[in-house]
Amino acid sequence: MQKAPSTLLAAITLLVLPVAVYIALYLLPLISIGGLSVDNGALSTRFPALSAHFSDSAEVDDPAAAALLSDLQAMAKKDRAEVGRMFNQELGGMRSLIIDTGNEADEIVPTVAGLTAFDPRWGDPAIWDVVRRNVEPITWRHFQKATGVKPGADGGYSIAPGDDIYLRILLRTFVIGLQVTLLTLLIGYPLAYAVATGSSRVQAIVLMAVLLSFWTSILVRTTAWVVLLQTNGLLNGFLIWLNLITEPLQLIFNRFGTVVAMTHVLLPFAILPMINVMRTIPPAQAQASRSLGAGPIETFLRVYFPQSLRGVAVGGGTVFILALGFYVTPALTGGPGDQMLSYYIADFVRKGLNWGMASVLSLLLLVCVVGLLVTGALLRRAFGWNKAAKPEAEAA
Amino acid sequence: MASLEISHINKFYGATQALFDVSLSIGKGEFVTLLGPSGSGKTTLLKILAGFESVSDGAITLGGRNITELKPEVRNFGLVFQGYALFPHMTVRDNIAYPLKVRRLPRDQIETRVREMLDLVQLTRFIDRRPSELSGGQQQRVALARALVFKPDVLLLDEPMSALDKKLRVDLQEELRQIHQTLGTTFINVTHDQEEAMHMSDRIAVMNHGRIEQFDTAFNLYRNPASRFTADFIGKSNIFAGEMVRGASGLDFRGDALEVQLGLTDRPQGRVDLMVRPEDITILTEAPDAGRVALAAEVLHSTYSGDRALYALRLGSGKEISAYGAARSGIHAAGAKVFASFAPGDVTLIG
Amino acid sequence: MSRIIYWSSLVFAFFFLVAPLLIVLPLAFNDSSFLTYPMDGFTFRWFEVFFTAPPWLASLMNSLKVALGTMIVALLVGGMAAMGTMLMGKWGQLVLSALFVSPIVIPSVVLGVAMAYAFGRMGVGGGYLSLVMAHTILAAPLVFLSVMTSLKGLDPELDRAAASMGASRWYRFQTVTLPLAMPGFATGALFAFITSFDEVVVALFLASPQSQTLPITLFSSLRDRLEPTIVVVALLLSIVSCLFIIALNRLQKRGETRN
Ligand SMILES: Nc1ncnc2c1ncn2[C@@H]1O[C@H](COP(=O)(O)OP(=O)(O)OP(=O)(O)O)[C@@H](O)[C@H]1O
Ligand SMILES: [Mg+2]
Repeated sequence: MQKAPSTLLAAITLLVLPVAVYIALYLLPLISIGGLSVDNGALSTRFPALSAHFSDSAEVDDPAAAALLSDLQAMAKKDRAEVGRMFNQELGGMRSLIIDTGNEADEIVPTVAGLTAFDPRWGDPAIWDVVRRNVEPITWRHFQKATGVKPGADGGYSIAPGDDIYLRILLRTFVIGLQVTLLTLLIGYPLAYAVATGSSRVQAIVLMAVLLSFWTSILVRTTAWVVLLQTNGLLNGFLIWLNLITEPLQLIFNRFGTVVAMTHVLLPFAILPMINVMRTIPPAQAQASRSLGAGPIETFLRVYFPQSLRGVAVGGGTVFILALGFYVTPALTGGPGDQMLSYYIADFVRKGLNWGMASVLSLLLLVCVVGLLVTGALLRRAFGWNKAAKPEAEAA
Repeated sequence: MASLEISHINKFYGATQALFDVSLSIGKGEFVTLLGPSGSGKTTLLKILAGFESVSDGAITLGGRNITELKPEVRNFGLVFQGYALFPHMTVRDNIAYPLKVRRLPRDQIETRVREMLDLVQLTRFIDRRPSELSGGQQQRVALARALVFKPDVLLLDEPMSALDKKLRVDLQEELRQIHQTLGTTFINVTHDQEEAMHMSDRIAVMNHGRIEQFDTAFNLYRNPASRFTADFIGKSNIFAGEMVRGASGLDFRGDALEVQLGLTDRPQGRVDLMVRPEDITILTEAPDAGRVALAAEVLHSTYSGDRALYALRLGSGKEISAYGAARSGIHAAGAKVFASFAPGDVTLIG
Repeated sequence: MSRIIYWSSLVFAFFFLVAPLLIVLPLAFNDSSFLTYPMDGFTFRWFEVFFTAPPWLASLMNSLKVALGTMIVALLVGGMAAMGTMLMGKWGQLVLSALFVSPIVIPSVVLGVAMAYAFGRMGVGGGYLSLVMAHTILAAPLVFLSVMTSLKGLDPELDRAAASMGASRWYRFQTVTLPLAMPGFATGALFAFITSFDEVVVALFLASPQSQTLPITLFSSLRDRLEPTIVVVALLLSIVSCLFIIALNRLQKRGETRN
């Protein structure tokens, strides 16, 4: 049937509200992150005169000096401290320079020479470079801090050792994600296999357990692990009771606790896709293989396992992507050295209301997740898995 | 007379044409069947009649009123779907009452009409069941009752029997014919089952490649097919290509190794096909008297079906034909030399 | 040999999956303020604490309010989105589905940051309303998916059948499409409720002290000090999940017998 104009009208009528809600509550907030990551409102609005000057010319001349001094004069004392702190993030010593200059701004002759006379550091072009970059309405400061890449004095870029802290945190996030993914696949595979091939009783029990786990909130399951793994907790108590150890082990607030709890929490996300794929593998194949002379283990390895790999890939991919963005579980079971990128994003907002850094790190996380999703989709197409799924399902 | 006129309909799906200049004139109360091989355009034509497909050009009128552009819901045509399309969330009663509720009939009247229809299809016991609790044949009859309860001008049936087994199909054919006679509604049925078409219909429209090959009674389609396609499609036939030539008492047929003296005066000369049905051929062991056509042939093989046997014969010219033979006193063995004989009056000329 | 490998790995994995909750949850009834076995006795005292201590009860009420509000709004948004998308052509469906489902793949922390900032700028930060708004975005994709699935499963012939009997588009929608898609809406509503009821991360960014939800209170007390009430909360939340699964099961069974 052709789409009549009235159908289109009905569709549009129905879509207006949802699209509006999505734009206002979802797309605009996400886009605002992009803006926030380069927004320099905090500095540029405090240096209106200097910002205006530098938008016309890059010259460090007497009008620039006058603009700097008038802006500093206009600022409240605590604003100057704030501004100084922000400059200091980029170049050590800027804080005191800004505060001192601000305090004495009335006395200083508003020329470059006057400034240099007050403090010789104002004669250093590097100082002015930092000032010029940071009074513009757009800043790459947060990106630089997140990646540790800094523009050198010679115009090139460099990564200072020790400044790549967020890249190392990203690396840690990936490592924890991989560890958790491998463990969930290892532990999840037998469970999925049981649901797909076990007796109907085993199937029902295991599937029920998986679904219950899936729908029990992440926080509740993390709570269970916190209670289990404490220093005076159940697991330590049990091990001592068995006389396996005499002193409680440190099981929580370290990598062990994080990985174990995350594995448990993410386990159902690995199992469910594996079940879906395994259910499409006809049981007759295994019987055929046995009748052709292969033993059960060989049958599994050569006939069943290769066909189930598609489910392993989907389950593993899902777990890995979810793990990258994890916050609650590592925050409750990890130590300072086990926190993932999400923790720092939350920290920047909750502790310092540093929206700039929070949004840059959010973008970093988002790019990783979207990149992985796209890679996954491409891989799926490359392996032809989208199409292969159908005939198999029909055969079953 | 509220007759249904379909005139010069063409239908394109993009670049492919599904219907070519289709015209049919259907009288009120007629039972018409659209018959044709798969892909011949039967469903397309039915959907156009129901209003679910638009025509590319041409017109449909009902009792003189142009209904070509009418939406399905205002056409007042009943439609029985191949998969029945019963509403799974409604009982049998609610399903049948649906079109009456749409028409805002008073409640007591709805109940009366629903019960009348259920009586007609003999399903009164099942009034409070859900469709999922009925057998295929019962669902089929509910669908029929639902499509008829609002007294549609025309009832369209899209392969209504195709999902049923053979025995049930025959029963339902009989029932459908009786309902048709009781109600006097115009029925248009789609099928690719030749027997079903011939049993039930007043007239059959044979379709091929989007064209109407012939629209006629079952008898005429069988005895006087207008085209080689119809002759082939309806029943078994033996067709000889040839031409009409002047003979002693008019035009005679002359084909490849076959001459039939017909003495026709009401035909032009030229190319023609001659058809003989297998049951009109008699198999003889000796050459027959003059007056009948006799062709020497060799038995290739036979299929015995109790009351008779179907033979495959090879003529002297190498052409293969089929013929029925009585099988009371034995069957001709393969390789036997026989004569295939028929009367000139039993042949049909096509073209 | 293969049996041994199969059963030992299965038993171990199953134990890992179910043991933590099965071991920990009974401690909600332990008559001791230490979360250890053997239990000192059976008590409902910690439940009493939960239902009388202000932060717990208040946050439970907040959670219920937010979850109910989210359920209603997400049902509206996700349901309308699904019905509208169904009416579009192939490409329209592709693009709109991508939009409506996409919040699922965005890490919660990222959504939390974005919404905390944007809602703050809009002047709706902090309260009950901002939580409902945020959870609507998290829950609407689930409603969308379940309604979409049930609409796609509908036989298009049913709509044609209704049309052939004279029913107008709107009447067909009311009497055929909507009732048949009902299980999809109901499932979607359940998803929306549980998603909101269990959600922590975005709520952490948005909630003010007055609008703290139960998961937030649980999260902060877990960081603070372990007390048996925490296990009570975990138990109650697990029970809600069980009820949810039972309801979901019922819905699926009903859907199956119909079709
Ligand atoms: N929606 C469509 N788009 C393009 N082509 C179509 C469409 N529907 C039908 N056709 C084409 O139109 C022709 C007639 O199809 P139609 O379904 O009417 O055949 P039919 O006689 O009902 O066959 P069957 O006995 O197999 O049901 C076919 O060649 C088919 O491929
Ligand atoms: Mg058809």
